[in-house]
Amino acid sequence: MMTHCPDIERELAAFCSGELDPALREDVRVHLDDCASCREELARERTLRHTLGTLPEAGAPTGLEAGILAALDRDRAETPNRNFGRRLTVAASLAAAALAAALLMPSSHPGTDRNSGFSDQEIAAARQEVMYTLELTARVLDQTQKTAVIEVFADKLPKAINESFKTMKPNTPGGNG
Amino acid sequence: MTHELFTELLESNRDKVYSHALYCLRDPDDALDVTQDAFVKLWRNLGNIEPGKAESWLKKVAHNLCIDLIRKRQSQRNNFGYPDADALEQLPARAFGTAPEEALLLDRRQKALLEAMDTLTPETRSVMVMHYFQEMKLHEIAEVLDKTVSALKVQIHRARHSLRLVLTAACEPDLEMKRETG
Repeated sequence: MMTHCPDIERELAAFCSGELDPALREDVRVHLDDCASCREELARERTLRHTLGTLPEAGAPTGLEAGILAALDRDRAETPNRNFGRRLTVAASLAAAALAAALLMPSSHPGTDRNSGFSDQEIAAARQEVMYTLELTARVLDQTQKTAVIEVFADKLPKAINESFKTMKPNTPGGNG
Repeated sequence: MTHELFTELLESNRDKVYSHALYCLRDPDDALDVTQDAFVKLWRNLGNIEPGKAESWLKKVAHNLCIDLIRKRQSQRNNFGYPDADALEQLPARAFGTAPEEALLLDRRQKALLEAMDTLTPETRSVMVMHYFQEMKLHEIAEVLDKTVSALKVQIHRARHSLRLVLTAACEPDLEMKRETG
């Protein structure tokens, strides 16, 4: 049986909102009969309940819906751009990679003319640029998109580039996004 | 279906969410911002919310947005002082058909109590609004906020203790009236 004032006081909100089981409710009621201090606390609980419980429900301003629609419109406007930007990045990166590979990496295609008019340093720098572009491309794609790109371009890019692209880290939610 | 559900939820909850935010934040503009943000979040997440749980999801989001904004405002006040001392005056006038004196007295109590609730933590203030104004049962609040009913009882008990002075003062006119009328 609950007889301590702090224990009873903790139950007063549930007592007033009718959330106590019958046995506990009876304990509280019996205690209240004998305890003036807890009856005062009960009066404060009831005042609190009445004062906040009779606050009027405020009508949300009419501008609410317009504000929500404006925010959702901004969402819609931004989403296609993000997708377009991503598609553009992929397309540009792969086009650049394919072009650079065709021009600068003839060694991966036995029998082609190696005389492209570029110095070895320029070729090495361009190769680095190609790999960096592919690295960036991999970062804007998730694993599924990356797999799709590898499948589509498997026979269009030099094997060395395809293999490197496969090992690059794809985009992950909450990661490098 | 998503559109219909959203419209339905917006229609049935717009005033509830706004009122909750208004009595937590005591600023109509902030309350409108919170309400708008809560519904935008609802729209964005509607497909991921378990069927039948959208309303309690919305309450939790509104609760969290209120807490975040109260903390932000507290931080701004600490840095830049109190920006809007008259915000309380913009709270809606009491709209119940009781005697004018009673309504006036009750308004004063309500304002005093809401003002005193500024001393509570943002979480506790929101819980108080949920339980006493929105008349949510403790077990409902516990479910929405992932808390235990026991923890809520302790939280409310402490809050009532913190509000003791203003509640005792609010009780006194009733006691005096009882004494006068015998």
